[in-house]
Amino acid sequence: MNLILIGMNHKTAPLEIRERLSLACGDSINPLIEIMNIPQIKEAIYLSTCNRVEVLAHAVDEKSAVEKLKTFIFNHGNLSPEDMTRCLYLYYDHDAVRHLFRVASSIDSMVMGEPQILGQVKDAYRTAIEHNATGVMLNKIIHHAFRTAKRVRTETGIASNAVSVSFAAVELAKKIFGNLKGKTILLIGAGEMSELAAKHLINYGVEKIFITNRTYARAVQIADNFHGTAIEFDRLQEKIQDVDIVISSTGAPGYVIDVSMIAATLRRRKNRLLFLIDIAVPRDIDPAVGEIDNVYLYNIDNLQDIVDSNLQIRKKEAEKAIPS
Amino acid sequence: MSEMELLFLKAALVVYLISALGYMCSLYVRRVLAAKVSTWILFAAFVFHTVFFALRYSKTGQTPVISLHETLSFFAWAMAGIYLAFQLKTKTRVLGAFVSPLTFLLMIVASPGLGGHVSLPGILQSNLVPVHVILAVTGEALFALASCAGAMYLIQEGMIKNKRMSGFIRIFPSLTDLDRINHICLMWGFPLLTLGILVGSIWARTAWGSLWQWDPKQVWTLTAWFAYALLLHQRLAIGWKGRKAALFSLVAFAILLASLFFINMFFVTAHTFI
Repeated sequence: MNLILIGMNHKTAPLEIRERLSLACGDSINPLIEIMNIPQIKEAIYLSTCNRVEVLAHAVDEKSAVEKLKTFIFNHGNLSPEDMTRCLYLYYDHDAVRHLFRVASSIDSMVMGEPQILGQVKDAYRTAIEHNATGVMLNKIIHHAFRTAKRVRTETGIASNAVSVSFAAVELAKKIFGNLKGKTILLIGAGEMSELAAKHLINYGVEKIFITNRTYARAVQIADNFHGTAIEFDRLQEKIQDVDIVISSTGAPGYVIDVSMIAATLRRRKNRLLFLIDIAVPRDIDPAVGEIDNVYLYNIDNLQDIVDSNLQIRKKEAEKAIPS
Repeated sequence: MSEMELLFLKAALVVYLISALGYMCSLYVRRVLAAKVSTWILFAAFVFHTVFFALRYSKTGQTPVISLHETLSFFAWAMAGIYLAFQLKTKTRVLGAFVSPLTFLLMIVASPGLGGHVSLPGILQSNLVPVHVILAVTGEALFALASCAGAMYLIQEGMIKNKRMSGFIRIFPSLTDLDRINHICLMWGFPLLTLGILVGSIWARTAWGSLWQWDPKQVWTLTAWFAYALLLHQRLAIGWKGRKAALFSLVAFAILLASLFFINMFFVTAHTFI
């Protein structure tokens, strides 16, 4: 079949490495074009989310194609050879298809059963079509993957009761603030996961939501969805003074929020607790911000850890339910 | 002590113990339900304790807050009562895991000396003495509760900060609720302790001829009072919240504890208990 799947996910690579790679692939270069420039590769799909970077390729000569793909990742991720071997996984043919099906069905997700991944795979596929990067083989496989994902969703209980990163954010917010009634959120940037988190928080009583985005029109658009208020991006710091929870998920290459920015708001905030959620990869908020008194900063991996331990507890609970 | 009184005292003691164990069990199994049940058990213990007080009062005709043991027993009763009152408004059941063992310990220390008749020396025979003790001890019980909430806050805050959301802190009340309890206890405890000190000094004037004797106990209590005054000021004027406030309330309580217990061991004081 000559199918190759190479990539890294939240299980194999820490956030720092994933963000380096997705950063490199995000702005300056178009990864798909580069991959398609590899002569041994006939078709390719490039999938990049907060939790994974993967390339699925149909190659003529597997061996040299793999080497070229590795060099591609090596160059852009700025990884050491040890990191490469530690973080990368490589599947061929049946295993590659199997992995793709698992990813699309959200079985391989950080939060098993989360609904976003299928949309992300679809987006990746759409991009591949736009670049004429897919052919008979990948078209067929990907459509099978979509159908499989759909069946897994409807025929198993994987999606019901899913423990998710956005719920972990809600759990933490409740641990910090107790009742979320009357609390306010600031949403920086757009993204499915951050909007989902915002939606959950609103369901739990958060009353006011402010949205800011580099493109003001986009902020207005999201604000309409949430019945929130759009804020110009340069009023970000001023708004942080007032809110209780900040969810950031911009595509910015550097930090959007740094220590001096938060420190400047502390006096005005009168030490009110501030909960910062950084869903972006690469990160939006300087990790040092988390050291400030009464400020709590969680990034995507931190939330993941909570989800993991929740799942662990569930597993244990489930074991209890099975008579031995 | 009559058999009836002894019965209620013993019942209170045993039930306090059960509720303390129940609370600790709730931490162990990480279920709030166990803490909820323990709250009702604590309420039962509180009722027995109250009946004991009432019987005592009707028998001796004096408010049972004169001897050290009686004072400690009253301290425990006030703490349990205030904590239970909080449960009507906020859902901070698990806070009991810190409060109820303390209550039980206080009762254990108090109970051996609760029986005998307290004969007052002439100088203490004034209606102001029980008022002084009740005000001061209620204030101190509020501060003890503030410290329980503060300690819980610090433990949980540290774990959230270091991203270790595991173990029993899962069922801890939220940071905001704990901070609020710390704040409210301070707001009520401070005026009560202040009034207690004032009533004490008014009575001291009639008993010893001057309002203030520079007795070691008085000096320590005043130091604690200043510490609490400072904390209240920082909270209300500067807007202290959270970690700093919780930490400071623990420090202030340590000073208060020193004045409550240790002074009598190492200094000669007019506040010697009978």
